[in-house]
Amino acid sequence: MTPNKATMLIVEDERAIRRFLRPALEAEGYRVLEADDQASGLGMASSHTPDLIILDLGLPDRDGLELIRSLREWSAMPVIVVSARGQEADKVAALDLGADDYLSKPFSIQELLARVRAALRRSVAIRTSTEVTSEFRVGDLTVDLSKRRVMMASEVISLTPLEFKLLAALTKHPGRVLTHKALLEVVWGPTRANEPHLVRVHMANLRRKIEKDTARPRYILTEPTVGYRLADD
Amino acid sequence: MEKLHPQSSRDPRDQRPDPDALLARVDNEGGASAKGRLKIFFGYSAGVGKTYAMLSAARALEMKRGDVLVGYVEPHGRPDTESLLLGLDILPYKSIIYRGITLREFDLDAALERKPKLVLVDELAHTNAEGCRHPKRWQDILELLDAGIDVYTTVNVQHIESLNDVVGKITGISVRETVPDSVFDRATDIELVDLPPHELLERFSDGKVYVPEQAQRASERFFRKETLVALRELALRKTAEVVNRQVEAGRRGLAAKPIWATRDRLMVAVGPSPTSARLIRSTRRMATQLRTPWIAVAVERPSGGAMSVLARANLDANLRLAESLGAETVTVRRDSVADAIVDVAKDRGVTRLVVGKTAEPRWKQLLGLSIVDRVVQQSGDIDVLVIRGDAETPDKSEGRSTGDAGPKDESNRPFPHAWTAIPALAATVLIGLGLREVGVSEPNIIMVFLLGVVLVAFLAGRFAATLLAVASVLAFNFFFTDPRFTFVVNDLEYLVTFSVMLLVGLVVSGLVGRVRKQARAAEDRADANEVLHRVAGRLASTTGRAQISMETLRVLDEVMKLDTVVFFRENGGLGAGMGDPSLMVSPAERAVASWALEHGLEAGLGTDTLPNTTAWYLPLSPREGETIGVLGVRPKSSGFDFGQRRLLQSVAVIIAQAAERDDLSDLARAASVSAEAERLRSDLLSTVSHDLRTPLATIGGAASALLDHAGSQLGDQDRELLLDIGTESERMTRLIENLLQLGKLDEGRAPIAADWFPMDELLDAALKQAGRAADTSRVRIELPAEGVLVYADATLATQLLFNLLDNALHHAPDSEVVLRTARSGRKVRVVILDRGPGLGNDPEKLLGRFERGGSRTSRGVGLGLSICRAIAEAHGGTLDARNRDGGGAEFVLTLPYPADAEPPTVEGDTHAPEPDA
Repeated sequence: MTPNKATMLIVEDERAIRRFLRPALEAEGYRVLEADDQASGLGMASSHTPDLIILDLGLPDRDGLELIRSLREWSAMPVIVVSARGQEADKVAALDLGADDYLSKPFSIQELLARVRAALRRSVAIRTSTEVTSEFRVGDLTVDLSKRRVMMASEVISLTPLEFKLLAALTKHPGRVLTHKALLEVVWGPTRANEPHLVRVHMANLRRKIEKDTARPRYILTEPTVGYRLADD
Repeated sequence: MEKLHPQSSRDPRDQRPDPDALLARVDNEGGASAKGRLKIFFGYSAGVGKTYAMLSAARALEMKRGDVLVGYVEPHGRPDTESLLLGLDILPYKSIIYRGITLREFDLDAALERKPKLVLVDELAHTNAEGCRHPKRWQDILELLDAGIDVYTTVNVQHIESLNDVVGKITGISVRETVPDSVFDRATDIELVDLPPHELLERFSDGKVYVPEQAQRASERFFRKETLVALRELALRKTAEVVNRQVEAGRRGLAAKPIWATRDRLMVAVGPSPTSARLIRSTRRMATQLRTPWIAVAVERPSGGAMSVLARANLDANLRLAESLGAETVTVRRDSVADAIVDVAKDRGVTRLVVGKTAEPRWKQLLGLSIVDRVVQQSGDIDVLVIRGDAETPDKSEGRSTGDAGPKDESNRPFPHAWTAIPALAATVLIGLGLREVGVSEPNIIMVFLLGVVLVAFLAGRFAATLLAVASVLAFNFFFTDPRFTFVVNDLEYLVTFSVMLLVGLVVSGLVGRVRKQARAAEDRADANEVLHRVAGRLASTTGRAQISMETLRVLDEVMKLDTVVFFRENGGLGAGMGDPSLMVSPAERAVASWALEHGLEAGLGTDTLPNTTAWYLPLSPREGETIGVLGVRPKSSGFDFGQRRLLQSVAVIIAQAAERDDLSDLARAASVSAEAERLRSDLLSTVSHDLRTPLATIGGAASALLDHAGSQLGDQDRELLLDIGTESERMTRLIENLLQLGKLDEGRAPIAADWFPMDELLDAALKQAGRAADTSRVRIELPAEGVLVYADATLATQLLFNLLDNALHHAPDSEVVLRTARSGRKVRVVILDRGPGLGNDPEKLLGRFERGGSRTSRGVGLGLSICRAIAEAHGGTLDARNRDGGGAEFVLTLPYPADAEPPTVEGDTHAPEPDA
């Protein structure tokens, strides 16, 4: 286990949850800060500039969404949102405000740690990479944005213009959840933001061309009722 | 008799598409689609062949689709007409014995009972014999139409209400049997049956035309060529007017009700005289031509004293005539007729005012006091049309020129009180004689006489006082002036005394009488206001229909001393009612009340429907088209006057609204209770979801953290325990999830936020969820290559699929689980198959609430399966379970596509981009 030295800020009002998160994260070598409401969370975020925030949306003082909104005015630090299941609308709102990922309660520590690692990796990649890559690879899938070409292993896959646009939008943020709304805006423009089924129908076609088993996708992962995520490993 | 196509569609008449489509549209406007269609065969005279034309049309229709019933046809013994009747289904006449004569009438009830598509009823203007439901045949026909039965009928131009007087002038025959224009306007088809007058005259001379007996006398004048030409022109014009309006209505997509072409508005001033009726008809004709709404206004003068019974009845009749011709009627009480008329006209935005030319005294005209002159002076920018009552035809033969502009003071204080002058005279004479004995001077005795006049004027009215004034002068002359006990006067100065005494007496009696009448009129008005005020006030705070009925009865009894009954609709019919016992239980009265309830129209005494009852029945309609009850009132005397009718109509509106408000407040109460319950429920759900999930998240999280953190240092048993904590907290979470969904669905109003989802996306989510507790690689998914879209609430559908998969994975731990999806028509079918132990003897029972499958494992899947069915049904789908041949379970789920939505397609996105090579 390599010491990461990265700093995590947990903003969560349930002490019991903080109590098992802290040792689990510390065991991974992260430094851990805790806050139990939105105000102190935001304060610690600005004073300690942690590398990542784990944020519970159900905070006692103000909505966790407020924290994201304020935070995004000055920082791009990754935020992983934790909320109860059944509150999909909140998750979508959090993602649209700029959260990087979300987890539904109850979640396992392994799941959380995996998400944390992925978020940190992306954040480092963004900060360090200066060149704009025009090619994206994961597994057997290669997307060449400049040539508008998609390959599976060595085979060229023929996509419609909208399918390509969808895939291209996903490749710009591999590993991140893109909401239906975000995809609609990128691909169809703002006028059709209320027709999420457009995304789903095109995405289903795209999947059939890329995935072996569409119900167990390897590349384009479904976040039910929220959006999609392109696998990045 | 043979019906050719008794079930044929309602599509009527012939093959001309345009007019029919147009008229059908006209017909369908205003919710009249369920009502029958009326076709009128319209002619200008008897003998043009209306009945013949009607029967021919009916025969053609009978051949085409059948179900034609001849309700009543008067063949007038003409063989060609009779031959047309052969083979048609003829309804037996209803025989009514009236004064020893057997009359044949149309049997309305039998026709309604038969409910054919089309009924033929000749002679729209016919007056029914006493004992029929309605006094007029056109009312029978309206009832047929309301029952959805099409009607063919015939009518001559002279029977049209608005043309009645013109025809009278042309023919010299006054026709009593008239049909309101509204009935004529109701027709979807008018077929003009025309014949040139000279041909008609030939028929007449050949004896082919039946002339009604009552017209025999005048037939010579009637069957003159000039008369027939004039009548023909009238009929053609009337037809053109109707057709024109229908075409225009069709063009605009509006109903056949009048279209107000301009912002014009007509008003006619009416009074009690018969000439007012002509003013009304003239105005109606103008209004129809100009296509404007119109108002009839009547002015009652409080100082004019009570109108005579006859005048009152005439005024009522005139106002009713105006109403039946489509006018809005207004009555105002004011002394200055001219001011009243002009004010109403200005209030209502009237542009043209019609007044009758009055025969007022010349001095009034010279002094500018004539009503017409004053109306003209004050009218401002309103056009005033001063017309003779019979202005339509310059035929002076009748010489009736006493038109009127408003109700006039028809009579003074009626005679009955005049006798009071006699004892008053005797009393004043006695008092005068007594005073004279004690030496009181003559001027003071004169004062006593004047006092008598004033008192009589106040108590008995102007007529008695005037009599007394004259008698007093004579009595004073007789008893008090020298020579006494003669009417001879010695001193001529007394003549001045007499004159002044008479004049003062007359003026005083006039003034006092007037004050008294005004006071009485104010009282009347106060009475009406009082009734409304009291009814409204009492009913405002009353709840419950019984209470509302009670209060209504109490107020009407207190203020108007009327026998009253209030019925509300109960179980779709007339309820038991409350009020006057004789009105409540009498079958005849109840029948009228029922009719009023069903038709939402007034009925009974003083109306056109079943008038032979003792009470008048008003529908209680809080809104147009909805009748919740009936108010029945029995007048003290023979009937109600216009003012009383207005008042009672207002009372009916207040009752209806009070009952409506009461119903609404009940509903509002129920709604607020259920809203409160709903709020509690959703509070509870969100509390449960938060308060149970958080500790579970902590338990599961802590267990997994501990396992991660210290797992390597623990023994196998301890590790197992930690794993159990993790999986059981997961299971608990699923249980809560199911409970929450079931709670939502149980309320019968699951917030189904359905949309189109690719099936693989839902399966992806369900598999991921199932993968937390089981190995999902055993699940084989079979999807068609083109994919399947379902219309569902994603969260619920995922839960459903997860529950079914989870159930199969747990109960058939060693078998492959197959999930097969396909679309068939507008349904998506999902089959889940396993080779586990199966579902026991009663697979259906598993899908009931809280059932568990088998006893081998006691996992709480019962809840999971019953929620599956609830979710499927909430989507309009089904879920069935059965045992498979060869062992194992099979669940079949169907989710339908909604009737009003098509699955989205990838329209316009088919071109693959050219890869840059």
